[in-house]
Amino acid sequence: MLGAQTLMVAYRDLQRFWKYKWWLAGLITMNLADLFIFALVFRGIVRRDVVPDYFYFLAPGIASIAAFAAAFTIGREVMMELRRGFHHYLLSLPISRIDLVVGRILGGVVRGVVYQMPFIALLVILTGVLGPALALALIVTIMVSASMSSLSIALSTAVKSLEMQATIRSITYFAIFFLSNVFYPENVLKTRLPEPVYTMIVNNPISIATSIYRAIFTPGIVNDTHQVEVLLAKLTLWTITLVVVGAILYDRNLKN
Amino acid sequence: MREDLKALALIILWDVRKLGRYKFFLAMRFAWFLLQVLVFGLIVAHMVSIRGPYGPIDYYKFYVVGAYMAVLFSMSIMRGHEIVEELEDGLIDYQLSLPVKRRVLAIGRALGGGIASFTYSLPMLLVAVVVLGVPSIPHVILLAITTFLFASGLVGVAMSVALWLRSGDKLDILMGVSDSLLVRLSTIFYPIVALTPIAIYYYLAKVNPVSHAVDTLRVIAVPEHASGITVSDPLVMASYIAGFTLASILAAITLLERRIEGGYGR
Repeated sequence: MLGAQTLMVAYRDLQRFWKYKWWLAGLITMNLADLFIFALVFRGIVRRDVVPDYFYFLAPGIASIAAFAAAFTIGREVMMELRRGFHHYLLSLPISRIDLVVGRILGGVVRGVVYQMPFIALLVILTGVLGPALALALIVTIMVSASMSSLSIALSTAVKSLEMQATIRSITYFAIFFLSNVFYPENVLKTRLPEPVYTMIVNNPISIATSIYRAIFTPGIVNDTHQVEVLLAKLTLWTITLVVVGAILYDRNLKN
Repeated sequence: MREDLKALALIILWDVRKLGRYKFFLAMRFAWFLLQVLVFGLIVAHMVSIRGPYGPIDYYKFYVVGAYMAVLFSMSIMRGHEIVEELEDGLIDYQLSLPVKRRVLAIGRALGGGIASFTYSLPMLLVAVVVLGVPSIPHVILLAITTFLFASGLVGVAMSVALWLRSGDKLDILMGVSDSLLVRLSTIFYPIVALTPIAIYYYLAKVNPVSHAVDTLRVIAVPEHASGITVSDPLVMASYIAGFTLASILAAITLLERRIEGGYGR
């Protein structure tokens, strides 16, 4: 399925990613400022019995957010292309529809992986973790990027109005961002939120990815007792579901 | 003078009338604010323990004011993007051709932008007023005046930077970076005492106008929770905001008078 044409589509999406200089500059600064300003200052005011070191607690979460935000950008382009009718041009190319659909999702994955790499490198420098664990981190990055890329494509094809789509995408982005375990440990969430909300938050793909990154890079930073195998199974399930839904919805929109 | 005032009112009205265009943007910001207040703030307040000189600080109330300021800041700074778009579309050139003094035009755009940003932020301000239990109507009015004044100052800065750079790409990068840094290097998320262990952050937050504005709002909205934890004395902070607003509008006037000729991108 992953033919040369699929890779060409993904490569085009990666090339277009660098076009958003302003967005990238803002995102990089925001991610770094969250880590080196927000987390460092918060380290001094967060109770040690809740999080012993907030800086090391937040760092893996920032890596998750980085992959999520970069992969999510693909939906905006799909949205603009559908609005401007550019997809007709894409469909006229000697590329099969399946290559195009898979290529777009893969484009989001590549964006997520490429953008996140410096943050993983930063985690390696901060924690000194090397070896096979990094392969696991890469697998997690690919899965979280694939699920978020597909989700964003699915959302971009959900409604016709451009403004409404942008609003839905932004609200989803904020909801995934804040309703995750990136900023708060799960034991605090458990005591402060109703059970269904807590369950929803800890099973959000970003929370799952963050928990795995924490297990790899900062184990023992909080008392969240997760089995990495279970987390990986959940993330795999999310990835398969979202990729299938995203692909079907995008394909349906290409046909119409 | 009367003609100038009439022109000023018209320019302000022109800026304010654009409000309807941004209802979806407003919906996004409102969703962001609600998540900050109802989720992030509530949870983080249980993780944080910080003492001011008069005892523990109620972090939730502290944070709600900060979240509101973060929204106001981003909405005001967004006006810079509008100015660049207007430069690109030749709208600024058109406005300069009108029988309106440039000084009046600059003041009108800054005040109009300030009113527009303040109006966008009204739903969030109302939520904050209810959540914080602001003691009286005069306090709410004072909050509104301070917010409007600071928003006008921010719009003045955004205008000045936009007129100075004259490039959408450069402005986007600068605004994106400054949005992230100015918000985090201020007392929006943490009181100034929390910044003392990192000297560079402490001094940057001390001179950051955003810190002065957000702490002034705290003094007005929740005076019992703000005493002893602000970046400076309330009178000094109020003067700082007034000075900042005046300076930024003057900068916008100067740039509009001296640098606008030649059109966009030349």
